Amino acid sequence: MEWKENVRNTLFELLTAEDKSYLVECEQSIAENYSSSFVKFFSSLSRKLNTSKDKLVSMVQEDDNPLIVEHWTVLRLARVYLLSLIQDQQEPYFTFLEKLFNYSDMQELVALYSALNIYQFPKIWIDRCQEGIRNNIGPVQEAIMEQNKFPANYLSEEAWNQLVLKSFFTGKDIKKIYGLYERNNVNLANSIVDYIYERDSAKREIHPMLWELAKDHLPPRAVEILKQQKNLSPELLEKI
Amino acid sequence: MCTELNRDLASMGRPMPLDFELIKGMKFVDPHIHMVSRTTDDYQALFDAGVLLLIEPAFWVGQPRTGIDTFKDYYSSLIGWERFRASQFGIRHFCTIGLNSREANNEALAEQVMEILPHFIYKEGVLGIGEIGYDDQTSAEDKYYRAQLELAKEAGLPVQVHTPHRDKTKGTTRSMDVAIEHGLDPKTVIIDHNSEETVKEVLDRGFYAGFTIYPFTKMGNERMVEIVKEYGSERIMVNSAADWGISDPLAVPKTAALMAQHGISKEDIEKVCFQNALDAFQVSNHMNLGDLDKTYFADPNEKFEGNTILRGGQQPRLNKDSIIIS
Repeated sequence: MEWKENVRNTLFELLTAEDKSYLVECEQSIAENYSSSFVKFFSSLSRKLNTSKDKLVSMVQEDDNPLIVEHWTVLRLARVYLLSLIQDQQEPYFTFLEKLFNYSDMQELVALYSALNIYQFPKIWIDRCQEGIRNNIGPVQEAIMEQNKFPANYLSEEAWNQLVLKSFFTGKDIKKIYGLYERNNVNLANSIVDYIYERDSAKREIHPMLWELAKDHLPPRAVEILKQQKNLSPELLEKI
Repeated sequence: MCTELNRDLASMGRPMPLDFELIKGMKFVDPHIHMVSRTTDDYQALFDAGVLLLIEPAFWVGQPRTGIDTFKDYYSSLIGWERFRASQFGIRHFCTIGLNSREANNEALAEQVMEILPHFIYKEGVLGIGEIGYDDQTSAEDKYYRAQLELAKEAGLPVQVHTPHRDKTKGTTRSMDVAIEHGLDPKTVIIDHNSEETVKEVLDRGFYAGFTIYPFTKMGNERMVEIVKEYGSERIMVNSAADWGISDPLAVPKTAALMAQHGISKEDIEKVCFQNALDAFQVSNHMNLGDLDKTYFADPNEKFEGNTILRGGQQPRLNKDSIIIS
């Protein structure tokens, strides 16, 4: 797969010679027997890549890349790359990865959720994705909600709507939600209108993106609230 | 751990106003504090008082655990949620992972805990094995203390040792004897909850000596000042061990202020309240210590831009003097 080669090349360009040879060693061991070697490599990577792990890396966005890599740390990319090397039958594969999720620290969780869209048997990861959206740790939520293609590709409408609403409630960068406009729907708009009413009653600020997503389904009360808003885009102004 | 309450106010010493001017600009580490039991107010107070980094040993949460999953989730929270929660307040959170002495007495469960410990001790944010040691000094406690010392040796990690409330002197000596018997270098072992009675032997044998400033049941900070005057600042550190009992999360900065009032040099205060803990727990293996001075963002790389989390590592503040909540 070409994307995997690109990820590898991007990663290796940022590593020291010592780090490179360590990763090559990881690749070989994982290929031979991932189940006995992976946990050690995956967990200790934060110490092994001590010199380069915090460097930031971005990749040109391409349609055939299942990942969107923008301002990732080298550590995150390296972990996601290692995850891409695991291959097995569905049952052992699922059991093994679930265990990684269940024993992970914060940065490992970020990598594990970032990699949702490269796992084998995508549909078995839907529950895991939904569980991740319920996680309370900011960077973990971001790994799923922002610049991750998995939710838009596989979540049900109900779960998708929860992701979008939760992104507003937890202050995420809404424009980074992959598939935001493509998966917009009337049920989401209705929930957003409810949220707009609550914000208005509380005299709290209303995020402009709420209007963007609900603009085609605004009841008269919402239109009245919209008229009071400042700094609206020309497109929204047309709605009034 | 607080196990008995003696609320005799006379034992608190004479009241003295809290004057942080003396320690303004100083930075602190609290190498023993149980944040899972503390509030967001405490995090903000710690940040304001200059505590840049804290270490949370795994401990007995007050209610005995009856299953392995509550242990697993507790360890996960120490490397996950609690670590993130601290970061939101500008504080770097590390932990030590271990089976505490009290729960080592539930052998069936202790066996299962020993099996999952290796999954946690290499994780990011884990500095060592702790807090382990003796409580009642039973044979089960001895068995799991030894097993965890072996684990620490194998992993090359420091150990944070809880010494017992009852039979403290004997228990402290025994803790050190056993650590040496298992081949640990005393410089990698922090013997905690010391008193006037135990400090000399701990230091003479080359171990680090932790002092817990905890009202009513452990050290008071006036006594701590005397200890530093007598023994100096080498391999001594203070902590709050603040937890679910009546305890004071600001014990480290308060003790630093009291030391300053009593003429202890800034260098010595810095060692006892900051540097010795960083050295003993080998924090430089986990982060660039030069970064400690930088105000910490929850994620220094990319997060929180245009986001509700405020910059400067601080969550929004409540106005405590107002009855209005908005």
